[in-house]
Amino acid sequence: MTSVAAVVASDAIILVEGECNADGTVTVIKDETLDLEPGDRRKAYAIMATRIRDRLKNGVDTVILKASSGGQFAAKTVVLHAAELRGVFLSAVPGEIEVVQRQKKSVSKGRSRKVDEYLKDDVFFGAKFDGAKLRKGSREAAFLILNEVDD
Amino acid sequence: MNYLAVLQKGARIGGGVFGEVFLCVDPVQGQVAAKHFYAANFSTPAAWQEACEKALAEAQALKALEHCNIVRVHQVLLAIAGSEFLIVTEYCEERSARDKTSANSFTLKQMKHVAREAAIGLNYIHGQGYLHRDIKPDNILLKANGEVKVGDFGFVTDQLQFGFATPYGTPAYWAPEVRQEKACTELSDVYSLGTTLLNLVSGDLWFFRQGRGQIFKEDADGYPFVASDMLFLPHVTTAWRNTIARLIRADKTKRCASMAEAVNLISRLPVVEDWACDVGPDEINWTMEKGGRRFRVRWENYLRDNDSWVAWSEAHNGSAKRTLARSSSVDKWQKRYRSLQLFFEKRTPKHR
Repeated sequence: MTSVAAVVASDAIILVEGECNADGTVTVIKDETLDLEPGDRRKAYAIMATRIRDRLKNGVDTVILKASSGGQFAAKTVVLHAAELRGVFLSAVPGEIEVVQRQKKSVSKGRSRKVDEYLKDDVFFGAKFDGAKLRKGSREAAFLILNEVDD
Repeated sequence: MNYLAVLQKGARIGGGVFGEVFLCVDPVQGQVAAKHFYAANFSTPAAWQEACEKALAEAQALKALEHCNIVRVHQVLLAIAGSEFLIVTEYCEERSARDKTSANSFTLKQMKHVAREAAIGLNYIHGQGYLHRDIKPDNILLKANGEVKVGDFGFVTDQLQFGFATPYGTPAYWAPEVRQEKACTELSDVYSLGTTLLNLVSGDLWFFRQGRGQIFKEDADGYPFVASDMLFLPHVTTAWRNTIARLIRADKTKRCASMAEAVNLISRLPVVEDWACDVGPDEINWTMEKGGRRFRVRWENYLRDNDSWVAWSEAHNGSAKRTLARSSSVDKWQKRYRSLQLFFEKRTPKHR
């Protein structure tokens, strides 16, 4: 089964496409960033929606999205912009694809370490992921796929 | 049973070795473009039959690649006498991006829009396992509502052997490996897109210019290639130059690695001031409306020993002129070119 995990920031979306293997590892197929166009955000969102639709059109069974989570402090503009872009992402995913949203805290649940600790662990990533090159900045997205294998 | 399609033929809007393109009116679609292939242009019935099959394959490729940035195919028709084959597609009222480049009057913002939308269409084509093989401004079509469509699928192919296909298209937009190895890949389409973007931000006069800093030189076989010492128009800022350079790197291992990445690079091009640039044979003028004033730059005898530039602002009626900067007559032409580049660079907005 091919999954695409997405982590959305205010001005970019990191996408990691991977296949879950029976041995609990993930084969990375593609690791990429879709940058949001600078300037008018309304136009940039429309362009991003087209790009997401095109990207996910073929061969993707599931999308795993890092979900929004409310903090205890008032959200800054970048956080709100990220939430906007997450909405754009969700609306652009083709209808036939299953979408699951995972909050960071739910990914940590039941694990011996917190997610952020795993993300710094080169040995762990070396053992759990093979295939295409995975950038360090994309590990959080990749971890979302691994989490589905483990679930 | 045979059916009759009603298509009202209008003005000729284009042509080529294959035949001609006419603006037609379809009773359902309204204005459409009909690409006519003529049996009379082929020496034997077998050659005509083959041409019809290729034209049909072109239309089928268009159908397989239906996308908002790809010209839409409506139908194919064979004249009752069998003498003409038609591919009927949507009509793009503003014609092609070549019409913009040949007008030599443009803004970077407009051209970014054209290049980005074309790149999105091309990325979709690649995602479906096809290559375009003939990317150039002539094949980027423009709708009146601002939509941009990749068109002319005469050379589109999904017949790839290990990711390669034989070359077609226009040598000025060919990647070095296409000239040398006669093989097209996704990366050669990326190069052609980069050269097209260079054409878009230059206009045809600057793009095909001969002389100092000219964009093209010829290789030993007479094929044009983008010279390493070429000069951009001075208002094309560093980030834009770097992006184009990444798309047209001669070494394909160092080139932007995919059309998806090309879309990203073009999308990320920073916001620049909206200078309208008019390239003439002897002078280049830039104009911009901002804050209730008109800003202007004039570069006379550009890239010659006696060239000079001056930048000023004025009220909309041309009064109350204020000089912003000017070239120094004691400098050499390279330094004057560089000083104009810096003038535009310093005005580039810093924020995203």
